[in-house]
Amino acid sequence: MTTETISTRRTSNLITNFLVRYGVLTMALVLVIAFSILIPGFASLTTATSILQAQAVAALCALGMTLAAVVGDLDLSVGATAGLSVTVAALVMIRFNLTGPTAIVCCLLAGAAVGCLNAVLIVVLKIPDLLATLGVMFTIQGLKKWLVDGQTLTTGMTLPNGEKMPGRFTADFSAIDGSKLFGVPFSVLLLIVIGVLVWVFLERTRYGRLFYAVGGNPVAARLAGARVNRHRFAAYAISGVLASVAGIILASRLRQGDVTAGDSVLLDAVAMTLIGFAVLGARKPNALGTLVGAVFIGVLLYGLTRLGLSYFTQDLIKGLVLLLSLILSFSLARKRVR
Amino acid sequence: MASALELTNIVKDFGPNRVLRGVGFAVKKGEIYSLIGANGAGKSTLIRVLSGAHRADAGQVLLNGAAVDIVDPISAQSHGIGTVQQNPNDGVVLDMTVAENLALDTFVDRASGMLTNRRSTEAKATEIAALLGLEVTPGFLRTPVRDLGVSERQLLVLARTLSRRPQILVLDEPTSALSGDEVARLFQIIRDLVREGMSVLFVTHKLSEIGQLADRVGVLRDGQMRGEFSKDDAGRFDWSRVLTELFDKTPSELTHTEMPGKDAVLAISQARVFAESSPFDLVLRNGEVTALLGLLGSGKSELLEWLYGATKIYGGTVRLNDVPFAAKHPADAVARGVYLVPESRHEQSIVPEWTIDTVMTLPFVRRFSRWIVMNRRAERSAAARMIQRIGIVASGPGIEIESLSGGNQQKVVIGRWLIGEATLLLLDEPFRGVDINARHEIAETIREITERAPVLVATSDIDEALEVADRILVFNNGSVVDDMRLSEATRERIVTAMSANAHSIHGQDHRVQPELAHRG
Repeated sequence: MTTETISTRRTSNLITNFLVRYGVLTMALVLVIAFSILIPGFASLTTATSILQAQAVAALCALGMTLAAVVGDLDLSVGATAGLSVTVAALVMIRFNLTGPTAIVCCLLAGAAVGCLNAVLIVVLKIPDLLATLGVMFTIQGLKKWLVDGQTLTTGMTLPNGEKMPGRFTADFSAIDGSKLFGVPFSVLLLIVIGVLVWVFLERTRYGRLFYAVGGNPVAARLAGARVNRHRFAAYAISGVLASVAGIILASRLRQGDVTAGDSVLLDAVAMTLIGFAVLGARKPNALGTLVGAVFIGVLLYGLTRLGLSYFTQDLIKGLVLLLSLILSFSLARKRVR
Repeated sequence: MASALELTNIVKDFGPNRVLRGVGFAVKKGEIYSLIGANGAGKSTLIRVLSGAHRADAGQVLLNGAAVDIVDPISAQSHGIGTVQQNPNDGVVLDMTVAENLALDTFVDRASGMLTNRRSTEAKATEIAALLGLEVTPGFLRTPVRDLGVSERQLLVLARTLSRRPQILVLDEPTSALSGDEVARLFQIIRDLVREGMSVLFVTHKLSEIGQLADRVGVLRDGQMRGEFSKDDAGRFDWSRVLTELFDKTPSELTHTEMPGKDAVLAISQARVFAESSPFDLVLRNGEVTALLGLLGSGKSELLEWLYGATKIYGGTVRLNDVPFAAKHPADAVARGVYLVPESRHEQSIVPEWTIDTVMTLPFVRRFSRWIVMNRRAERSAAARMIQRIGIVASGPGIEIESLSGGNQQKVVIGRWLIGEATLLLLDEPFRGVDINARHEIAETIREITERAPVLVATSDIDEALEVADRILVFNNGSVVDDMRLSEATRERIVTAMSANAHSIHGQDHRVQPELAHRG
């Protein structure tokens, strides 16, 4: 082999390595710079908070999905669970005229219940993870519509049977997405705090370590003394709760019990989680990657919209970005020689 | 007359690893030839070369004297070689019915037309099942194979292979999933087919089967044939010679002085690994390394996994330091200081892409995380200390374990348990896939541990047992059949104990020391 061939191989290896590790981050940086130049007022705190606020619901669902993906597979029911929270919030406040905090508690309980349902199906009844959450997704989508007879509950509305709704979305509940703290919407702060907590949990605590062990080689994890089923159960339960938090934010934003709420969240959450695989060459679900994915999609869509992109092209763009990330994660990473 | 099947100088490499180093033997027409070999000897690779799943890198396969080129499984079949793999799940389509599986070849065969209908499939399937003497009801034919047990799946694969009327039938551990009756029926069918002119090559580790079925047995070791044996006039094999060939290696340089055991730490009562095993009692002491020597299938792995809380067996109670001990999950065992190094590090110990330190600390994450946050620095230094102590060749604790050599990986997987305080250390085939130098170092590390805790090493290799142990237990069919100090251990005594079962199956009362079966 000539020296020429060796050095070209080494260079191509370096390039592949760089792309795999820093491809997504580089693209994100390039985007931010490009948009800052092309769009006046892009590089500002207001833009950043707008982007994060727009992505918060899907991002929180994606974080839950990421946790589940670490121990098993993607939790496809997160979007439906968020939608269920919207319905539950509307029922509690508009129909039963109860307080905001009550609504929050009920939403979280609903999320935990869905998470436990997933966990039972997967851990106890041994249904493959992805299929179980898919089934739960369909069920919850139907359930939330059934709970309200297919009606979108709004403040002061009258049901077909003549019943008038006594309550309304309370001020404190609406403040979750509405109000600002230190100039940043509360929902964005919530996203940041939860994002950091999930990252710490997965990357720095012993539970995160055990979660990754369970997902990476459940047999080896068990033979090292890890209670595999308990960890899997917990992951899906937490995923459900995080999805319900996302739903609370969504409900606060909509301020009505929109029956179709949450239906479009799933795809965004999946895209963010899978883009996360490509961040820093992780090739596995990870919290930082999911958050970067959320920001990446948010920046991309915001910038392109400001530049005049039609809304129906958004899904196409998201899809292409996702495919690109998957290529970085799987095809290229495999090619490189360590 | 040319042999039905002849192999000359077959070589197969997997990367830098030469698995088959020039294998040559011949199977005569109408003969049943058995191949025996220890784990890693190359048996399965050889079978895969014959079945067309792998291509040999050198050497020839001759059928009836004519050289053939086996390029893939279909070409192997068209040459008249029928193969039944070890894992029945490799030979069936789980989601198809019994009938569809039996008649699977007709779907592939162009001559049978484009359309399938259930009636013709079931008719064909009934025909094929009849070859094995299997009567099939329509209900059974429509059962999805996923609902069948492993032994039934194995029978399906056999039936299908036999339906192609192979000239040479190659079987890889054919009875591992079958019950006693099914084994007897299978052997009868094989004998009938052999009378009609078929030749059979089968791989097994069960000496009794070889005795019942084979005309000749060949010993494969380290990728080469080490001898062929025929039955004597009385129709029996000379097992001690066979097993001596199986295990004989160049004598190791390591001789160690035998250590006497100290305190009894573990007491096992009335343990039975299999339903038909004789119950045995066993006491393990610290201060000595105990080897549990048994061939594949003897139940030694199951015994170790039971002690560790990873599996259930048919009976037995345990006392650890005179306190009852019954681990229901490995976590219980680890909490009491009972540690296991499992047989297959890749499947049972290593999490892909993890680093040396994270693999090592996994059972002890609690120890390294006082307020649930992992103390990475403590992990790294603990791992670095272990790397020094055991002599692991690695540039640091942060590199991926999968980039290490097999021997070094094994050292990591054993070293992890040194982080804790062992009350009992169990190792299942710890020297598998480990080079000579690493074995020496691992053996030394193991001996150090005995100061504080009993060490039980399960192995199927006599030399490993002699190299590392102070006390040798021979394990056979789920029970301890002999118990000797290193000084009392001779190859003959060990081999006799290991082949005890085989002799008895020949129908003669050939047990050398009948009391041994119940020694504890």
